[in-house]
Amino acid sequence: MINKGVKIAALILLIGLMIFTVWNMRDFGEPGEIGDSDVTLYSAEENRTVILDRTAMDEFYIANTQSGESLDPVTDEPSEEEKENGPSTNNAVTAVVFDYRGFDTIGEATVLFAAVSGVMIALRVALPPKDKKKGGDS
Amino acid sequence: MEQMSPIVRTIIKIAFAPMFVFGAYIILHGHLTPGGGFQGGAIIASLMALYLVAFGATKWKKKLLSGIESGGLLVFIITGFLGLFSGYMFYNFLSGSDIPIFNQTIDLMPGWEHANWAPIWSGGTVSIMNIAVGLEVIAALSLIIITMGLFVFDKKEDA
Repeated sequence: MINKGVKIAALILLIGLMIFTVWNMRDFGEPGEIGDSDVTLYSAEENRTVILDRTAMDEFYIANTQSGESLDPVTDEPSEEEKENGPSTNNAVTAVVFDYRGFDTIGEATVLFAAVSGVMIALRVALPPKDKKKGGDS
Repeated sequence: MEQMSPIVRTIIKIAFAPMFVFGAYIILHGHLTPGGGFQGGAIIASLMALYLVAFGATKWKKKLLSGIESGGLLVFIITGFLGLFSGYMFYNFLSGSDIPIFNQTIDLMPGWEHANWAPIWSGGTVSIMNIAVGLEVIAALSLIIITMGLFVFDKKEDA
């Protein structure tokens, strides 16, 4: 089996990489910051329009997730950073889950893995020995 | 484990292929339309549960499913770490690059501020991780369902 020191070193390396990742996380702007553009909604029932402000974070998603070479809302040209960093993913939710917040999804997938391991270990121990020989196990 | 009635089995035989295709579509189009690896994986895993209950299948390739699960997680983590060479973890190094894997970018339609369509060969690492997580979720949920289901029903047969 693997040496205990190697395991601890790997764990510390992983934690360090996670901190490094959070350090390099993309800038979303302040949570409550109001952006430059707005959304106009029309309600047919009440026959009136509502104008909602977009937050700076919304504008970041709209400008960056969909296109790898997205347009800068001010200059109408892709900036160098946007050309490099855009995930060019049409579905913004997937872009957030797997690209912007990928390290969070690693945790999710690992939790699923641990859950499956736990279920299989617990139920395998509880099986009577007769079933183990017969087993549907390939 | 007992089978269910012929009516149920026939309906599931008919519905199996469309449901599988729908789940695969949800996974493979995760970067284009709503959905993704987790959702599509859950759909296909529920199909496995349906199969287990209706046909009473007891022989499952559990080792193959375990392998798919571990492999999916490994591909996901390795793809995330490969971005370290370009900058930081989960850097999307494939999108817009010269490597011909999911490297297309989305062209904006003239007259539209933001396009609402995209080539399927786009997304970069997002698409790869989508498929990896989809495979992992299929295998993981199927394994949980199979292990728990066969455990309960085997005990019932013994009693």
